Amino acid sequence: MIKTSKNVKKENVTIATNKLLLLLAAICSLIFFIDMSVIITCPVNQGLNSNIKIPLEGFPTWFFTPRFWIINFENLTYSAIMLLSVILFINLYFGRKIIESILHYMGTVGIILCLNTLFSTFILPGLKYGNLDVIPGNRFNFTLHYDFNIQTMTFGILGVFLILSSKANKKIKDDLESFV
Amino acid sequence: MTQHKADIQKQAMWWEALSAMIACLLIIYLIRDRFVATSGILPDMNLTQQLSIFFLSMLSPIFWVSLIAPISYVYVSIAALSVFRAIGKGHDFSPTLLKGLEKMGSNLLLGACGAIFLTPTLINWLSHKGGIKFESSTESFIILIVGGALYFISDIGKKMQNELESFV
Repeated sequence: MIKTSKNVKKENVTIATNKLLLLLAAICSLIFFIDMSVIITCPVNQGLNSNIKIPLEGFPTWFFTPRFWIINFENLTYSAIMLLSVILFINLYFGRKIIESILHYMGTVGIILCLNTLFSTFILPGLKYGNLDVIPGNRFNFTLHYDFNIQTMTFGILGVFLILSSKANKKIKDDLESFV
Repeated sequence: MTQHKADIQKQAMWWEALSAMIACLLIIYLIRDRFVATSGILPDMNLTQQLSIFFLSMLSPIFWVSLIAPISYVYVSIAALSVFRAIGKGHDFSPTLLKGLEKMGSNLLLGACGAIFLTPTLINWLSHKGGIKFESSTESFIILIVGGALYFISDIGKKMQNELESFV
């Protein structure tokens, strides 16, 4: 086969894209490990237990407390996205199950981003300030606390978009498979 | 199968309306955020004075430089709007959808680069400090990586579409 200049150019672009993908996977995994180490050593940083002076001291006890999971929910979602991105980039780099991995990535990351938005916009401020106040006469006063910020809203829209497009594209894949 | 498609189209219409609302909210939030940042400079200012300072702050390049990341994020929601519209019309892996995906990916990349590197460095330069400054946060890195993934997915989608078209 004679290699035309167009083919050579296309090959060079593919090689450059693959290198970039591998670099992104390396960055993702590095951030994932830094993130996880911050989560694991957080009782020292966030004062979960003021008696703890050394990271990982009394590890199993605070790891199973709801407070630990509530405080770290956002970080955990970010770490999960990092991990999924590493898996996607590696799959794309080696060209393994491309469509399946893209659909899986879009669906899962979409759900995680939506959960993250819901949690950081409504649930965390609610837990922090309390949505229900007891007023005299044993009645409750409901106040919705929320934390609206531009990055979280972008995450929310992105999450919904990923879920919907993963659904739409899954349908095409099924149609194509049934056709073949 | 047709019922399933109709469901997705219906959902997409709802999300189109919601994302239009969120895009408007984001723009209002952005204006409010800029206004709040300038209104607290001097104590006991009335509304006219606050508005004057807000408009005067627009003359400073720092005002516009700090808008790089938020405007990219607003543009992402506007791109999402066009994609939801395409899904609502029943175009699945259409060029509109792929273009929307590419726009979202590139704007997320630009927004993240703006938040991490461009804005802090440009503000430093405009303050005559010089040098290169990084302001990294996990959120910005997540946006960068998801943006990169979307950009590559749109690229792969385009290649697949070309292959399909040549096959047909």
